[in-house]
Amino acid sequence: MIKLPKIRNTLSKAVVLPSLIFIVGICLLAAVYPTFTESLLNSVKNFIFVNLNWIYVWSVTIFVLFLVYLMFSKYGNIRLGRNNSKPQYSFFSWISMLFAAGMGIGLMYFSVAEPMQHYSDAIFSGNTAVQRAKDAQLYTFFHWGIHAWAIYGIVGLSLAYFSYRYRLPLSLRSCFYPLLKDRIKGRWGNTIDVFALCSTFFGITTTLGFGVVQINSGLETLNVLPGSNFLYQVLIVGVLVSLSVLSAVSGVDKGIRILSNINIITVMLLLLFVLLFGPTVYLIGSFTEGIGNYINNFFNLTFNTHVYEADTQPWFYDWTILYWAWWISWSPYVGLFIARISKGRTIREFIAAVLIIPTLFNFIWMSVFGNSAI
Amino acid sequence: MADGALSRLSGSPDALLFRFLEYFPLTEIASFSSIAIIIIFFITSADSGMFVMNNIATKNARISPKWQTIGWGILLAVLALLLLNAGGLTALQSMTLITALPFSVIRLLFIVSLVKALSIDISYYERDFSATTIPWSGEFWKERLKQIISFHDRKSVNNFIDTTVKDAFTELKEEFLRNGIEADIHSYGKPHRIEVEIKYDKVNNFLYGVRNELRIVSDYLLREDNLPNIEDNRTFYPKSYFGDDREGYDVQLFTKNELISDVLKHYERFIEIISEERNEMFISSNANQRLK
Repeated sequence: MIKLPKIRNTLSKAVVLPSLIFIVGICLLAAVYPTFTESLLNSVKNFIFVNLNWIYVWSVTIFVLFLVYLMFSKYGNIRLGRNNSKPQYSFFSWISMLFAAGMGIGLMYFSVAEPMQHYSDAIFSGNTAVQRAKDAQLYTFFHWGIHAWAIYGIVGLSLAYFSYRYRLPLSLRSCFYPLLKDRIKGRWGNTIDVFALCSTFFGITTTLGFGVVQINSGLETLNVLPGSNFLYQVLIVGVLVSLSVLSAVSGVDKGIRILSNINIITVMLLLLFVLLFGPTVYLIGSFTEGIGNYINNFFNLTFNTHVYEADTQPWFYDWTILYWAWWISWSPYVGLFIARISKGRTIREFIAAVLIIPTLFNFIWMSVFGNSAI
Repeated sequence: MADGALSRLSGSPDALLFRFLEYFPLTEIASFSSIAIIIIFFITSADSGMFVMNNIATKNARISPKWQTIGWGILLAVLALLLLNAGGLTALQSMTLITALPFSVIRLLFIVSLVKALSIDISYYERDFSATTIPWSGEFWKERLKQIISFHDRKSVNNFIDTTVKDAFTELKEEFLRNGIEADIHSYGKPHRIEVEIKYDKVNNFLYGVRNELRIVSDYLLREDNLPNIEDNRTFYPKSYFGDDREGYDVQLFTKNELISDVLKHYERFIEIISEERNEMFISSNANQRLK
């Protein structure tokens, strides 16, 4: 009998097999029956939109309220680590890393696109231009503000709390320790990981998808590429993923970090550039007003399900609900990152910083780009 | 700034950023930097994405063979492309929508988990010393040590109540009488308890009692070698209780005199409370009726 060589791996079969079956299944479906896949996805999407949107609205609302409550309660004093431990990173590094966590492809893609689309959407054509501009900014803030960061924050907080204080491994299944005790090592833990894996996987592919499309567009603008179509996108993905794989495999941790830092500086420069060469005073003014508007409408936006406004409902689905889903699927990724950098912080510090700092940056970014464009 | 000119292009959002930059000087450099930014974001996101996936898939394995990470990268790329081909960006978004749904329910469970853990956490660290340790002076420490590490069954607690506690209350009653105050002692069964009561006409009665209370101890204590044997995790202890239903505490470590002092502490507190004018409305004798 021929013995097949056992390929050495560290994969946990119980987690990987179900996930892969799902993922590869979708791959095959999309490859062999693309149009069918598209219509199938659309109908499932619409079903969820119409019937299950409340799950998203409610869960995000609960996330936000819970975090705010924790921050102000006596539980805020609990440290993410041993009681007498000091924070692992200095305050400044911690804040700047949180800043960086907030940036990504989404910002680049949607900074101009989103306010523009809200502004010019036919649904709102009944309002004045000023009202539409203000609303555009408001909705953009809503999608990229505290709610988004509450979504990441819940995962980050749970991960940090259970791994640093209970000395469990830094993984999602540890967060169920109080409910499942040692069963987190078994089937339940595996189930959680499967869902998290699939969710994260598709969240990342979505982001990469947006990135590719935009790069394609950009290269077309710079006349590096003659057009925007799928073939070029395949090319771009091929090149970029190979680069990523190369860097991941060669273990050039330093390289990635340097690259990230350069990127952050470039992003800041771009922001300053647009701010300075754009209508600076107007931007600062609209940013300020935007914050006021946001705070004012905070609860209104949180709970709004548009049941009384049937014509704005599709817009609501297409934007708000999709965003919530996108952030939720990114949350293991971002949550893990912010958990890693927050060892030693108190819960209050953690929540305050996570909810405020990246939100502020997002607001600044969205204001500068969005309002200049309008 | 573009005075709404860009709104005509909202149909092709991917190009919007670059059209927008055309209104600025140094367009080429700005566009080029933007693309560079996106590319680097792509690479860093994909890179850390692969690690996160691998992390979850291997249950936090420290070091994994390289082909695994590569595998995730390739899978990410392939799927992104296939879905893009099938339905464009909306297809990708739909998948996200679908997979995020069960995960959001899981996250609600995170909150439940956190709440449970946090409340235990706080009470663990805020726990104060037992009330019975207050009078400890350093004498009788050997008896105390013996008391601490023993866990009682129902019989020995009943015995404690019938001897030490009863003697304490009896002596107290006599002393009260010598001072012109009438006190009663009652004992009941189910649960076995004894109490000293001072009746009043116009305000609540003063009540201090000790009853036999059940406590379930953790399994750790049963399994632990370095502690004296206990058979069962159902143990009993004498718990104090009061006329105003405040939370009582374990009194098994009190000597007879210390128990008497404890009753007097509560009595002093009682006198203080009823001597304050403003408490009048709270402690009328109507409250006595519910004790019957």
